[in-house]
Amino acid sequence: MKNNHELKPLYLTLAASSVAGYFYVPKANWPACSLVIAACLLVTFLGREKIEDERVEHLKLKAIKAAFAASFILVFLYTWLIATIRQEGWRNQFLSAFDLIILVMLIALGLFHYWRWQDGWTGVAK
Amino acid sequence: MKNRLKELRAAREWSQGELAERLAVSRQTINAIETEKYDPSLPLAFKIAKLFKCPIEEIFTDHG
Repeated sequence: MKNNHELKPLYLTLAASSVAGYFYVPKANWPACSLVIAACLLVTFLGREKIEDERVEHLKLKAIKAAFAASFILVFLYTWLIATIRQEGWRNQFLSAFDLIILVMLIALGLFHYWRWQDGWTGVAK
Repeated sequence: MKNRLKELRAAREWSQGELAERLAVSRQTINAIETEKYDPSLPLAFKIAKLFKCPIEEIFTDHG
């Protein structure tokens, strides 16, 4: 997917605005907000980096694999917790598909940038 | 996989950034290769060998 990496701060700002909008706009609903957030994070992760080389592709693949595995465990634990809580109001708090995409993308983005930072940090550039 | 990339780069007095530009990769990738965190793909390895005018085997050696 071709995407100017300079637009990424814009997408992240839009995602953050959606989160803020959900909390501060009275009629905001989470399904609509989560759709916007999921879309922004997806475009941010899948978009091209400033220099899109093989190491970037390798790290992105590694990050998404780890993110899916971690998300599965977290969602399983969350679902189990929700299913065992028998209080009114908690029974319908299951995650939507967009919630899952948000979780996967947050973990994947975090891992990718952390590993990228590690790549550039260890050893001193001359 | 061990490599002599840092040594070869230093001999030409190139920075990691300069080498990255010549190979059309990022500086972080060069650092990752030099610190043996990442083994380059075959096309990149050939590009490196061509740039330094060395056979691949003189630049990259297997641990075993």
